[in-house]
Amino acid sequence: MPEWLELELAHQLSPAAAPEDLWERIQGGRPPARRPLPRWPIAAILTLMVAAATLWLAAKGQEPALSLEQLALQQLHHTAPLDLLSSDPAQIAAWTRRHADVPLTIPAGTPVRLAGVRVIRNGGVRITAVDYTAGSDAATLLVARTGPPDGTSHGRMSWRSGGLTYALACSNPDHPEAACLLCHASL
Amino acid sequence: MVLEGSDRELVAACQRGERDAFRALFETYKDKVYSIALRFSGDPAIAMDIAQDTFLKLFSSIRDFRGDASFETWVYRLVVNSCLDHKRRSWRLIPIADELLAVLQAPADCLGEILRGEMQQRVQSAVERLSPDLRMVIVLRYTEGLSYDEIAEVLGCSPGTVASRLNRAHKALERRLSYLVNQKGGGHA
Repeated sequence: MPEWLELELAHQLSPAAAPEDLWERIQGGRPPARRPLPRWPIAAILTLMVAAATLWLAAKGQEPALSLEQLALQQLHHTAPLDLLSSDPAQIAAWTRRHADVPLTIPAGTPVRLAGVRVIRNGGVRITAVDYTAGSDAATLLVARTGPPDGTSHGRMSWRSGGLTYALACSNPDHPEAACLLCHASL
Repeated sequence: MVLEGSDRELVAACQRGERDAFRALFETYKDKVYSIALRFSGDPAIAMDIAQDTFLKLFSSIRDFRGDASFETWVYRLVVNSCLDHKRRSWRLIPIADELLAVLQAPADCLGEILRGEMQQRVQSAVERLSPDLRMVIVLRYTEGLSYDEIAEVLGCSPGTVASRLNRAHKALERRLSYLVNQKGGGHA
């Protein structure tokens, strides 16, 4: 060990005199007073945690069932190139399963005219978009995997089933249900 | 007279419950206990807690002292255990922030003193960053001037273990404090 360190330690760690009031504290016999934890670091840490959770949820797109309808409308009006051009329901289903891990089933006898499929990303979530035409109306179906299969719920243009969330958008605002023809030929 | 007696007489008097003997024992060991607590914790308030805890334990268990080891060694063991217990119980959220707050909260006339004590703070800070095991051997060695054998007896380990811990502590401290040598021009002031 270098001499300077030995000298420095001996000098800086030299014995100290006990404070005068130590005996009084011992006579008081009270347990050592706990130093209260400073509160501002706790508040700062909690604030940071809340902010981080908020950002994380926002980035994750925490509730696709609510936003997927808007995203479907957006996709309908800003059509990006399709990853697969196909009018074959089986081919689209197979591609979707392989590239987006989504078990999409489109009836073989669907009355719509399929254009193809692409995968988009929103808040870190992979979403499958199927473009098609129902009569003279353009439509888009979005499908996203949102978690474990925990039941089924159905809204007007979006629904959940088997751990997947679906949303439809149609170019005809007066008759958006036309998009439902993809799977429901009787509508 | 009890107040002038040796450790053995003092301890015997304490074991008989003589009040003056407790005070005499306290006067004999208060600086040793407080110094170890202060150099280990780096904080006068915590050192007071540790010293108080040590003496309360000492007075309440002095009847159990059988004289197998020297009384001084027994006292050292008590304070070492109190230091380590306190370290386990306490959790300093942001030590650096604590130090910063201490500087900011200091009255203006204390700032000169703080600057003068900068070197001591840096050394103390480097010691505080050592693990409790390494820190304790440093404190017993440099604050109390104990030999390797004495430290080994206090800590209940072999002198070889003490040597190994001191070696590791020295290397860590040399690494952390070597810049001070350059600042000071290569030697101890």
